[in-house]
Amino acid sequence: MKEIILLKYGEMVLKGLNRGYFDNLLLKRVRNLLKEVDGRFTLDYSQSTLCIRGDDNADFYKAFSQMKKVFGVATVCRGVECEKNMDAIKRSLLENGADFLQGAKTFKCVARRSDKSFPLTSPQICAECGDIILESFDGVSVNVINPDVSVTIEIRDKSAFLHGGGEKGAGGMPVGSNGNALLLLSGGIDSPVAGYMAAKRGVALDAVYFESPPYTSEAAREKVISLARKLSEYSGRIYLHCVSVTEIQQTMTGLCEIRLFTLLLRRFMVRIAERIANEIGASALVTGESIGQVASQTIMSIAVTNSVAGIPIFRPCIGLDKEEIVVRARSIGTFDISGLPYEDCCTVFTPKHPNTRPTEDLLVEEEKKLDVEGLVERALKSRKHIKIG
Amino acid sequence: MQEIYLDSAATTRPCRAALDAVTAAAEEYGNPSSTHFKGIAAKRIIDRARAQVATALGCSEERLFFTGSGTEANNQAVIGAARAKKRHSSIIVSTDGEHPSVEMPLRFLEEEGHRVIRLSTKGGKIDPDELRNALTQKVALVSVMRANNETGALYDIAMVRREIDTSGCGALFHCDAVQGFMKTTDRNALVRNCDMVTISAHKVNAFKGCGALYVQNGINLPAYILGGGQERGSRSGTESTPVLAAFGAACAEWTANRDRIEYITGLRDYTENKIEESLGDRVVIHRPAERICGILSILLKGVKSEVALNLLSSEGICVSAGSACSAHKKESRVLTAYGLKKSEIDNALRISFCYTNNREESDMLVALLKRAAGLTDRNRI
Repeated sequence: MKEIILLKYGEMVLKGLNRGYFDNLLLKRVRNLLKEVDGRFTLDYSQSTLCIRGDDNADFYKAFSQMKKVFGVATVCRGVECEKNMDAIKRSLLENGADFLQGAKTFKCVARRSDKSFPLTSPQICAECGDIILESFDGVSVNVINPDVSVTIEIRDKSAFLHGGGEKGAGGMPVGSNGNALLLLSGGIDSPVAGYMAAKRGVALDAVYFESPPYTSEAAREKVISLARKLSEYSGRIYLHCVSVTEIQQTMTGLCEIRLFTLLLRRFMVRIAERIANEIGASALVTGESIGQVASQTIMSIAVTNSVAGIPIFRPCIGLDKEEIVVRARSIGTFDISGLPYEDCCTVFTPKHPNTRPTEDLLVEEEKKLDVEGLVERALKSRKHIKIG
Repeated sequence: MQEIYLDSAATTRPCRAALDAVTAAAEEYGNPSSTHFKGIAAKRIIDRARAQVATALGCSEERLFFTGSGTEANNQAVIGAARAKKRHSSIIVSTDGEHPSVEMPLRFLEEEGHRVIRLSTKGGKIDPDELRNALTQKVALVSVMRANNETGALYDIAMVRREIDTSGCGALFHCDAVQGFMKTTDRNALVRNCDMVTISAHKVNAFKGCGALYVQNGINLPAYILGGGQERGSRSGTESTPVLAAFGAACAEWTANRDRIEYITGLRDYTENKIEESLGDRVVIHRPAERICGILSILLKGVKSEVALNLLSSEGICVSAGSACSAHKKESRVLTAYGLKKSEIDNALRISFCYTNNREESDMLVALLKRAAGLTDRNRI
């Protein structure tokens, strides 16, 4: 009897001839995450399930928590593997039943036979295993409609897998299966969530952070690095590009209409981000915008920000309320980092009464006062990149 | 990049004596409670450190109790004394400018049913009439800090003592002297005037993770950390011999070098004059009636303190913002109490000196402050 972790694949099982491409990306991600865990692990894939076995030093507890961060996995189960006969299965149940039940009051048994030559039918396996549990563990009863735990017995080709039903995986598609994008990452709550949502759909991410030293501090950049690090636990390696927009902001201060400051800056950010995206081979930008959340996120404002981009801009949070975004930020662990009180570049030069109904003509007119190309070039020269994850 | 540390009110650089003491004492790894020779050697180091700190404070060794920090000592003194005297009175008199390690215990006691009277510290001083009024009734505890950590204001503890004595209110007097310890010329004033005194090691060029509480003979404060009964039952937990040894060594150095105060005061005045000279009406310097030697509180008009701080930091100079001006953080309670408006607090900077600083460093600071004064502020847009 050996400890195992089972990963049940999600929607990628619906893929056709290109299925192998998705499988390989997922395996690569799993291998990368297991490198950070003590022990040696082996992977064995069959029938839409990846079985992870480990040596005697393997830290299955840590491995299990890591596997819950793998996009493409619908369910993660921690269980045991035993010989494919009822004696061994019953013995394993006696030994591990308490772990599977984990204080549950009700349970049911679920049996799956992919090996149809197994002498017992699924209902017979369930009945015998259910009896063992009822006899051996106090305080549990059967509830087949809505049990606390589903004790699962999977009869496979070479062995049997037993587990307590598993936990929800990260879902989505393996990272990298849907191309690369550049995330506009700030120290706020929304952009890390947007990055997570894009990565969940299989998008590999790099990120760009706009700062305005000395108006913004080293601590503010550290905060963004922490956010990127947290995000990389799910999305894998991220290159964070830090770009200074101080000169742009200072130049605008003397020349441009105050009410348009934020929008002008956002257009600069999109231009700069697109240049970086083209250079690194990212085919889209991702932002944390949500309609109407702040002045620069009204539909008219988004339209004038969008218009300077030559590549798609994805906004996964577009229809989410702040509260919904906060719930997601908490669940991925970025909320507490975002709450740290450091000035973000956007807020330093924020006008008191920004224009919420801008037009393209208005912004183009304002930009004529600036050497847009020169400012973009010089901002790009200030770029430093940091490898994270 | 040259490193210029002008934030000694936050913490100080450990002195050579402290570094030597910590290394030497680390070799004596025995548990000071053990009765074998290794334990006895460690115990001797602690006894010596206690004697050095007690000499510096001017109290007897028996009445000095080591704690894990100044915060811990303040908690123990304020909560312990208020609870111990609850049958006498549930009234506590303190100020509106105390450090959070006194203010938060006071709020905790208010929730327990105590009444707290907070005297105004506007302009950096306590009004004797206001104090006298507060002491016309029975009072359990008076807790007033020696020097304010943000403004540098030095409060008149002798006056507080006199008022307590003449009022007959029966209060115990606790003083948070974390900033004041070793930084005033009359070093016996603390023990002479107060029943309990809090001090901290890392403000006098020793290490973090260590403080002490002086408690006058006859006062028994309840212990909050229970266990093996170290520090004569007042604070359990195996003592950190090296850290205590460093505390003792640093105190001995301060005791032997009393001219440091004069030097620091001179440096502060020099810097203050230079700042005024070169920034003129773009700067406001706060001058409380009485000031501690090492703290200079200024505001750069129209420049957010975080921006100035970032600029200085990028050039290797460390100072503190009077308050984090970010929208996420509330403005400083202490500076509000001092009488500053919110917009002024946003621009406040604290520069704090140590005997290790010099005039060249001050000159570099002033040059950079001049640059910082030219940075556009959000309010100007």
